[in-house]
Amino acid sequence: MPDKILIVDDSPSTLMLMKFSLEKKGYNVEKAQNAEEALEIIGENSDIVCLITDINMPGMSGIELVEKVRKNLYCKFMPVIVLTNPDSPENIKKARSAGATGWLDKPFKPEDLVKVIEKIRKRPGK
Amino acid sequence: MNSGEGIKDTFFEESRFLVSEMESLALDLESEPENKSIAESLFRAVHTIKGSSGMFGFENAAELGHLLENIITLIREGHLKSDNRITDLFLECADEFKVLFENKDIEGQKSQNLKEKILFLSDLANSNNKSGEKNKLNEYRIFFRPMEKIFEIGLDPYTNIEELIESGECAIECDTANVPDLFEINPEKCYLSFDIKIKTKLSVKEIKDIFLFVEDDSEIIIEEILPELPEKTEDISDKLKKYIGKKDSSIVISTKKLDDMVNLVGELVMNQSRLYREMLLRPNDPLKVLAESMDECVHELRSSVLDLRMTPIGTKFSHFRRLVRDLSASLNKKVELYTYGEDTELDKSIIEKIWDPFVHLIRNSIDHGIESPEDRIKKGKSETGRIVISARTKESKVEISISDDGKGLDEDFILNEAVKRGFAEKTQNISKKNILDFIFIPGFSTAEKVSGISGRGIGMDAVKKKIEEVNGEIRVDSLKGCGTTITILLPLTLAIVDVLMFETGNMCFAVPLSHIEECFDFSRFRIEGKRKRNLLKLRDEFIPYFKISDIYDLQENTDENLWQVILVNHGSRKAGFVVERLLRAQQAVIKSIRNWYGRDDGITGAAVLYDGSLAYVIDVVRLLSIFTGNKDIELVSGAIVENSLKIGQA
Repeated sequence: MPDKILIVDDSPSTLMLMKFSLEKKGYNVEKAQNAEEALEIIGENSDIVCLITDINMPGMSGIELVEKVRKNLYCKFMPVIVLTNPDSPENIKKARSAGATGWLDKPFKPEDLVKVIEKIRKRPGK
Repeated sequence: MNSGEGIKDTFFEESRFLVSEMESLALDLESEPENKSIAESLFRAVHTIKGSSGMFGFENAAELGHLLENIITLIREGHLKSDNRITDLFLECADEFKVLFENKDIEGQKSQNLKEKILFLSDLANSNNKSGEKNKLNEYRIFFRPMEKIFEIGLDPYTNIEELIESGECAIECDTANVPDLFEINPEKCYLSFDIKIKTKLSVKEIKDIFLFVEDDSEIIIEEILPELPEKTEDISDKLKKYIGKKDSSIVISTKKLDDMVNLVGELVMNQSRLYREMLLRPNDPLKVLAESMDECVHELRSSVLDLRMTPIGTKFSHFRRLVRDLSASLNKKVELYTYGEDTELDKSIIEKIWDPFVHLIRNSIDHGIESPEDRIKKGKSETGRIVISARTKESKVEISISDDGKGLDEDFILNEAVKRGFAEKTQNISKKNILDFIFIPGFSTAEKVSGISGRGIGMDAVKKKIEEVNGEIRVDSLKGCGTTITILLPLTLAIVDVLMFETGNMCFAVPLSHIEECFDFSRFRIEGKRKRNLLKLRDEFIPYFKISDIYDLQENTDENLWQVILVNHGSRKAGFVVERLLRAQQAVIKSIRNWYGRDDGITGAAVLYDGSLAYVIDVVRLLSIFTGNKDIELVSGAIVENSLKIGQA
């Protein structure tokens, strides 16, 4: 059973690109276009091993999403990677204090995304 | 596609510029090989060429660039010295780049020339990469203390550690000291820290990468463990450690400190026996129990402090081995040394003092005792002579004997010499033992010729004197043709001795117990000598006696019939000391007083008594030699009384 990763971004093309490159690496990918939808998916899928979210999204921001995830008893310890803009480094700090595990500057190469996930995802059964 | 071509044109233009830059930098580097900044610039130029070639699909150029980078890295790190050979190489490579870019040859076949260059470069890089950095196992020590809230940001320190385990050989110690009691544990917090030793091919940077995202808030210390000393040295130091570990670990203390301590303990012993005696007079005193247990402690303390001075005699034996080897070589003799009882312990100061006499005795054995190999074969002995040194503890003394299987002492020769020199009369019937004792007479040498090693007149008498200085005894035993054995008896220690106290003429004296054979009533064994010779008859043996009071010009104030005799011996000599009253046996710290007065009056020193007064310790050896041997020393009568007053005042 491949690891399930949830990706959240308001841009469908970014979502497509991420889904494509992660699936190529053998991950099972769930996607959401906003934070609210992401929370729903998290609620329905207890087997998600990693969450990747954009920060700037209409509605609930990525940072708020991280805070919500950290408060949810069921996914409290899930690794979360936020996609940040190198022009606003303060977002990294905010995300970190909200409980983000790591971050990745946008735009990124698909390999970098995979590398970061490899680094922090929970290894099931260990 | 036009714009694409435009970019490519820019790339080509840029590359051409970079290649010419590379050429001039390579030439600069040749003139200033140590200049690091030139190497840096060269590296940047090549790096850019490599990077952009790769982007634009010039794989061959990228490969060449990569190899050149390696070479420059080696130069920058000092592994490779840049010389004209290297400069040539750079220039040739620059030509290769030009060809590649000129042809706009994207993934074309490598020319023969290029293939050779690439091969050469990679060989050069590998051969100079002495440390073999890529393959070398680095050893790191990593301290990793994840922040307490690490789980709350979705990280699991185990993943980091797991990654380390995968990357090399790890020894991980987990410190659980910060884990609180069970009821206080917050399972969502991380209380652990890890001490990791890892052998890995990774660089420090790569290890840091493992701790990506973790490093910001957690404590991570990565230090490289530098390669240790070459293995051979390690072996030796290991052996040394083992060797030292086997022996008790030891420290070196100055003799003075030790002596001070021995003195203090001596005083303590005195005071303790004083206390003990006082307590005997008060049977109902509650402190009596305390005094008794103190007594035990003090005696334990005394023996362990005295033990501090004890050194195994084996340390000296090893010097003898060298001595025997050197001497036998210089005398063209074959000698083997056997030693026994190396563990026998002796007071260090005694060992020091007997060192010279021992060297002398061993020289004698090799020079006069052991015959030359030819003579030995003629006599039917083995070619190689033997010297055996053995030490053992005998009662409260240490007996050391030196034996050789040489020609032995010639009794007739010694007797003749003794008669010649007037030490004996030919008609006298002298026992073998006494004949052998002649060799201890000053100036008596049996050496037929003086050699460079022994036989210069400093003979056995000097040896004997030295041995007697430490209250030792020396005996010689020999069988003509078979060998000689010299036996030395030494006291275990000089610091504290057991003495017998006695009183004569209101003065208190002490005699070392080691010299005392027995004590008896004077009146019962006394014989009135007709020839003014004072003799005692004990079990059919006549023993000379003398009164201590006569020696020191004291006045007895008790009846003659109450007097006692202390029978003392030293070696074969015996004599009775007549004293007024025996007091008791006790331990005493003997303090030298001879040095203070520079007098030779048969007193070794003074011992402090339980009541704080002084007793004179009689030098038995000295008195015996005065009264039973040659009487060449005049005693200064009355001197001792004078001394005692001075000491009393002090």
